[in-house]
Amino acid sequence: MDYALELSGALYIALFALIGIAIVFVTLGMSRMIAPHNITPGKLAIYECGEIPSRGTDVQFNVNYYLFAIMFVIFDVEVAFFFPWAVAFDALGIYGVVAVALFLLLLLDGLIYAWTKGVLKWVY
Amino acid sequence: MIDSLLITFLKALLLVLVLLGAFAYMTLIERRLLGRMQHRFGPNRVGPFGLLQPIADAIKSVFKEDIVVSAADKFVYFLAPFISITFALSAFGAIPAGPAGSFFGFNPWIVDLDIGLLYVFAATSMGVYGVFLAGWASNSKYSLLGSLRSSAQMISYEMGLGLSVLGLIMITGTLNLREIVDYQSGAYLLILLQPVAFVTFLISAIAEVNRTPFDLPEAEQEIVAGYLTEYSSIKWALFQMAEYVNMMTGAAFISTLFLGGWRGPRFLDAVVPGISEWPFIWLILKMAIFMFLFIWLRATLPRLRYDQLMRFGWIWLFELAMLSAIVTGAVIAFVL
Amino acid sequence: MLTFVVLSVLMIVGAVGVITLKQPVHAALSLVATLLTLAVTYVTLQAHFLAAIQVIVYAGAIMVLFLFVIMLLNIQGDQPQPHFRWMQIVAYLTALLAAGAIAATAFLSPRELPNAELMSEALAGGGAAAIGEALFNDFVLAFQLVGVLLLTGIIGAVSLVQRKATQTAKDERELSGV
Repeated sequence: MDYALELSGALYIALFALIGIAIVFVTLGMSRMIAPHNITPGKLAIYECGEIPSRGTDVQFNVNYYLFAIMFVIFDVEVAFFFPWAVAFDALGIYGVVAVALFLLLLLDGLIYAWTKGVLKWVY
Repeated sequence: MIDSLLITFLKALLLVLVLLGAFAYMTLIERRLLGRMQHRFGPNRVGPFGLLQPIADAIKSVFKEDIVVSAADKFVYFLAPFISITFALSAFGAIPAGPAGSFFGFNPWIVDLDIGLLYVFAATSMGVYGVFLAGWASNSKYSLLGSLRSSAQMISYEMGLGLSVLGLIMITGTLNLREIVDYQSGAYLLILLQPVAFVTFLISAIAEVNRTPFDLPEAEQEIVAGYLTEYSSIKWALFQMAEYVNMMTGAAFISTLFLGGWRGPRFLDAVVPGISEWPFIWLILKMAIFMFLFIWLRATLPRLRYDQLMRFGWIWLFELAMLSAIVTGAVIAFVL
Repeated sequence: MLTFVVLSVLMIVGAVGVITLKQPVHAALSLVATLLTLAVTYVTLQAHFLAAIQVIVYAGAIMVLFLFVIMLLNIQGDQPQPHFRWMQIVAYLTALLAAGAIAATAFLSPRELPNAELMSEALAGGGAAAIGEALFNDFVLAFQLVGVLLLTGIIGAVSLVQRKATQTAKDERELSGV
């Protein structure tokens, strides 16, 4: 009984997502039926302010994107650890606060390190 | 207690249609309000007060030619709007709009999850793929630059959202959105207990849905239309739809977490008995306040520069949210 | 049981896609699909909290990092990599070893889970509170070690980027003739 209830929650989400997908299909189908279709090479070119596109998109990107992504992963994991702590906050009490404070201190260290090295500023 | 599959299907369909209708009219309301704030009229020609304008816009987008640029990765180009729309819509399903059984005898929500709060986070965190893939699949420089910027912005401010709710979870001890609303009716509104977290959450939410002053994806002076540059006609409209649905989810989420959700102010019960328990109207009212705030901000603030945006998020906003969570934890553990 | 089979098949298809698709972004997307299917599997096991964290951390954060790294390295899909030929052999051997280890674990582990009832009781309500209590009572040392690990990650990333930054500054100085 309980299992069926739990599963139906997941089923409802799947249902909801399916409706979202169906909406996109309906609108796309409608557009395909109604919209004109008259392709010329000019239309198919990518936009570059009216110039003929130069080179591809195989350019290297700022290393900052990588840095912020990895910082994000680290702090996302940290926050993921905090959620169960916050939910079980009452049961854990002061002991839990001390454990999390230690953990947080470690990560704040990292953040301050990154800050003082100037990498959180995006431009140097 | 739990509605049957058919009922849920109908409810989900209704919610999706309502959200789409709300999207259409939000574009009109936004343009009219922006017009008013900039001392001009805004669209007022199509129908009375321009009320038929969204319909005209919808017809226009369907009739436009759908161009897939030849350089594009066709499959991913096609996939991106699906991802955006599906996750934007499904995030809304966990938000309760009234007491159990108040919607013609059915529950006014799609799913009642014990981890409802995390569910909304998970669904919004997947939204970044729609943005990233749209830009990548277009294979155009402006699109790719725009999508990298937007996705870095979205993941960064997602952390702000996560850190801001920690104090709130400590206080309520639950991740269930319905129980968070109930807690606020029994005690104080969480905006009073967590004012700093409310501010950081609101700012992060604005950045997360790419609204001014964080609307870098639409910094047209620099990157044309960002990740949307190569999208046209109905696919472009679908991305707009996802953006507005995200805005509405954000507004409903903030209302639920900090402003008592679907419940109205208790003192009104003295005037009309039971009015604070009426479903839908209070949530819609609170959402309207935030939607107005989003539009107001757009008319008021200039856009941030990209490095300012990242610096503000990482150096100020997150530290503030973290501090708020630590202070909350310390106060509960040592003082109370 | 049927849901489990369907989900497993989807997961395996996704995993095969990761190693067979030539275009790195496609492979990454395939991995996202695999991770999402894994999250759904968690949901069917009633571990809702775990499922949400799986989506938020793995699909929502780590895979975004992967995509950024692909963008950063600018890997082209069809380029052969002759320098790493010997690595292929090592990779095959490692894969075989890992598969063997997993198979051994699967066959040697007990059929029946101990304390199954206790576990499902603890997972009622999504499992966040149960995980929190276990994490901070029994595994608090491991939890702190994770903190150290994450700190190492930050320092590593910063020092990687830092070297490039000082070099850029030097280049700029040289260019400007100071």
